[in-house]
Amino acid sequence: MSLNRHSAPGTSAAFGYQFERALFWLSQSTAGSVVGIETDDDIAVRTGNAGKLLEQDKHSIQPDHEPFGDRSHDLWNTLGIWLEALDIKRGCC
Amino acid sequence: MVTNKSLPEGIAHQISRASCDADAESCLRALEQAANEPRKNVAGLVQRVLRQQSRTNLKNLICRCELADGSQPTSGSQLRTQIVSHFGSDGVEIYKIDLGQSDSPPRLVGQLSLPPAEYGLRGAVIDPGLGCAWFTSHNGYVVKVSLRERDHPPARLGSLKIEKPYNYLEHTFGMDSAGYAYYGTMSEAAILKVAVSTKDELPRLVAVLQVNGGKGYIANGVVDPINRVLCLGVGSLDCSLLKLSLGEADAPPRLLGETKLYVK
Repeated sequence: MSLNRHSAPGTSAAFGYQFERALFWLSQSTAGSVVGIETDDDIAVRTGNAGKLLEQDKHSIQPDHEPFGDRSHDLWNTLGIWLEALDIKRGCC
Repeated sequence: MVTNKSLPEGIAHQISRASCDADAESCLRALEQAANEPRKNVAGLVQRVLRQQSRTNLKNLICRCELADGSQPTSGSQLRTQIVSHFGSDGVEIYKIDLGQSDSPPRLVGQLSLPPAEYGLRGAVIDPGLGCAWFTSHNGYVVKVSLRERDHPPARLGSLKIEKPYNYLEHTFGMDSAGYAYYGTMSEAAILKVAVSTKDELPRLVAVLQVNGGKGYIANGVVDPINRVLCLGVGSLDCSLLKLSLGEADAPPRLLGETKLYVK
């Protein structure tokens, strides 16, 4: 089946991927944990002891795409988002 | 950082391995090297990440980052297997329980695990005289099981595969005294008549009767073996009770009459 200009299989796959990742964390987390999609991050897991795990998900259906490559937008953007959050939390800058 | 792709060695892997200040320093140097002549869409981010005022936080961040890539079960069937192994799948286990005499508590005698393809157990008809039961699987199987002697777990004897569009076995209506079991399907609503009369043979599909041309919805039903009728509750918005004759031998059930219950 050919793709037309309204097709977005990559976007759709990436969107669905987040739900699979959320299910994964639901299966792995301890009782009382809360798993969010697109809340604090792509996936955010708040554990019962006030801990927090943030996950950036990069799904690709392109054969040659390399997420989180050294010069990629994915890597620098991810570090930038998390660093911004840390700077704000610690009252830096 | 999680991706479905397998990544070659690079900064992301290096960051993932970093656990001390020296490792973080090494990652910082790698980031600074990669920051030379950045692409247009990354230039602003590079500046932001490598800002001097944020260096302490950046090193802390590096030591807390992990990468999971396609070399690990981060996606696809491997990820789903991990998820399912925790939550469990739609049942393939049959348990034999000794209910006990009088006030004694029930006791597990044994269990039978069916092949994975026969998942989704929904119900069963049982013939204690013959020592067999026929379980329905929502994945399109009628599985014949030997009940075996009192303290032995049940054993699988074989199965009948029901092909599309009648594979979604949902309801078990019961069995008549002539050795036929009656099941109901979803998606394509139908009554399946299955011969289960002998100890040695596997179940055999003998007849199919669609309900409202297959477009109906079966809520539930029950076989009356004495009067040889099947009563079905059908419909969700437009609900009726159907009365059907079971049909002689391999003949399909036949509609005898219908009573409208309610229309929403």
